[in-house]
Amino acid sequence: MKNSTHSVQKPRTDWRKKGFIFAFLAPTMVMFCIFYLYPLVTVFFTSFCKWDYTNITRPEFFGWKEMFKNYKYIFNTYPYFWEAMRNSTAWALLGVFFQIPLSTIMALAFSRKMKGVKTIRNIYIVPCMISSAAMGMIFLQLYNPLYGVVNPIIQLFNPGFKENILLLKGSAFWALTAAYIFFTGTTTLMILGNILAVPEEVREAATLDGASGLLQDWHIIIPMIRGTLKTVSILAATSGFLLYNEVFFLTKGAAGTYSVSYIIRELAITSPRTQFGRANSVAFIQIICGLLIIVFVNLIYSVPDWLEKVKKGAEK
Amino acid sequence: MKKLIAMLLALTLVMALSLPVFGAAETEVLEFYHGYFHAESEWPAAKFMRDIYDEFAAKHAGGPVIFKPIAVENRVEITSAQVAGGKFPDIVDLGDTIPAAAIAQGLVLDLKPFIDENGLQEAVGLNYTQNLVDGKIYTVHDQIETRGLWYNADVLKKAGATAEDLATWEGFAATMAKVRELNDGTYGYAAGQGSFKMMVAMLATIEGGDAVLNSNLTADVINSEAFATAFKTMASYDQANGSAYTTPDVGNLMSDFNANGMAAVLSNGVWNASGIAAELEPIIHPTIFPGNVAMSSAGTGITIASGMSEAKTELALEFLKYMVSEDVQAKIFTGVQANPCNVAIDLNALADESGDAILIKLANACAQANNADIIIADVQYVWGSDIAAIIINALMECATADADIDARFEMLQKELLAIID
Repeated sequence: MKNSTHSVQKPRTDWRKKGFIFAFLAPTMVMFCIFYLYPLVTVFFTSFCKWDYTNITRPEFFGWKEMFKNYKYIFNTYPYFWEAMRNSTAWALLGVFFQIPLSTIMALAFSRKMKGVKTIRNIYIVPCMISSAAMGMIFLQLYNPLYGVVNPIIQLFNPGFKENILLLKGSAFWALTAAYIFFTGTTTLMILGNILAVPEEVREAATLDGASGLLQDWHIIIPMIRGTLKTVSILAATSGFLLYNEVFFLTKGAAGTYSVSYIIRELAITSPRTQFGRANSVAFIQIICGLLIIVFVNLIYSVPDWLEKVKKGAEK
Repeated sequence: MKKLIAMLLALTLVMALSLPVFGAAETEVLEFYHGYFHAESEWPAAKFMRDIYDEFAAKHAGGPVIFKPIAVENRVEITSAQVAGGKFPDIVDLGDTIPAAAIAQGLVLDLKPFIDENGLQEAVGLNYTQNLVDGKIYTVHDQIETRGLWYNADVLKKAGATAEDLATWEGFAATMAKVRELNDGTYGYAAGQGSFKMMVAMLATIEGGDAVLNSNLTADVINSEAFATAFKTMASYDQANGSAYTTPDVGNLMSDFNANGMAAVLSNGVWNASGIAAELEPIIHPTIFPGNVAMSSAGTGITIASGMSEAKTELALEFLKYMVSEDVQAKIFTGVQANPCNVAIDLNALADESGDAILIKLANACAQANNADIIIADVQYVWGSDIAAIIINALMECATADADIDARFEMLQKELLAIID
């Protein structure tokens, strides 16, 4: 009897449970569909359409034979696409290979129990509260050849230097990079939080085993926070790939500093010809690149596991 | 008791939320976006313009439509974003090319019938001819964008030059070379945006340049000899001038000329008169571009959305009439110190009457421009601001000492051909 009651009630309980899950997920799913999925699908489909000022309310499909017309224009004709791709990719890589190591070193330093470390930590975080627009303006003043501080420093090594470094190819890229790459407060805080969460017993055990300082950081702390490092690497790489404000405020794309986000806006908004179709083809490429970045970072962080497997295989 | 309190609270909330809805049904709001957001201490003219708008709002305060001026820094972005969504601001003093998509979608009101019916042809002045597109006028700028050069007589004198030397482009280049030889911290001119305007003015003095200035940006224009000559000549001047003195927005280096006396020449509009520091006023004077060329553009100004309610459209057109009226136009000249569009205004009389040295200077600048042998329009309004930005970037890059101007021009041609594709 007991069994039969149970067998009748179980499906109802399952249904209720599923219903609750669905009810709680539904608002998020609806919002996701409206604000992410629908624009994403629109971006994808209209990238195969003629959509500019001549037909702003009615995008027209190019037809199967000509469907890649926007992509052909962007790849073969548009003068700034490859430059923008190169720069954005470089900023994404710098995020992974420069910003994250820097953040990790800073977080490890801040995790030390030393006098004054909290004050220094707070000072380090302050620039992160300044908007990137304001930061752009600050750096514009720093790079100003007439009264900025950068040119006098260069003049110590090259007395005759009078150029505007934001107009020199190569230098402009690095000047722009320097305007954001050192401000790693947020990622540092995320990593620091994880470091401080490492159980004290683990550290003590390592100390008893004779590992201290850097050895402990390298062999115990970093492997234990690998998950967080992967997450912040993805965030740093994508924010580098999406860089816009610094380009807008410092160079407006001059001296080879276009970024992918900047050209999307140039095509869609700045151009009086309102080239939405072409802008969406760049936007779709940007989305694909974003996914590739995630795959790439995952691959990098799976290297230690892979090496471990190889090592174990060799031992066997 | 708890239930009663909860019900009362709910009722209050519903009523509070409903009030604005009911209120909105009775009075409409006509929003007007403009770019005079600056503090009075930063730019007094901005406050003066805001007062003009507020006066109109006060006059119509009791009417069925509320006139609401909104000062913003990003009116162009606001307009672009709204156009992308199939809308247009009620009224906007745009100051940049009207997005072609707005016209293509029929979002902008044709002002010509209203101007004709009310006999406002003289009042809108240059707008009536320059802003006529396919028989329609979509925008009226209450101030004419008249551009030329301003020079510092003291710097020129120190360098052994005079204003007459600026009458030809060769003379201009020679004068800038003399200024550089002073080697005392003064420099020739703020390049970048300023040199783009000079390049356009130079086109008027070059064989074949006339065709370039009166055309859309086509492959023929980009590949023309005149365009190449103007760009390369200006780029060579900029290179000699130095990359330290370049800016995509002349406003960034204006104080070097107007307040610090560090630059010999400034390529700017007649409105620059109001920015001159009192101590430099006796030595800063206006002139036109070399070759007796002035740039006078109606440009883009008051632009009204189509498809608004009758009451809103009526008030919007009333506002246009108000802005070009002799009373307001005289205020724009005396208070804002800009070149008014209404041709019936006697600028010299107003300036003399005021006795103000800056106003007399402004009237002088306007008179020189109005009497120039060649008056051209700014191609930026025809070619588009994206094209202007690309050319400005190219000119700025050429200002560096090692830049290869020929190679950069070839690159610019490719960029422009690709952009117009």
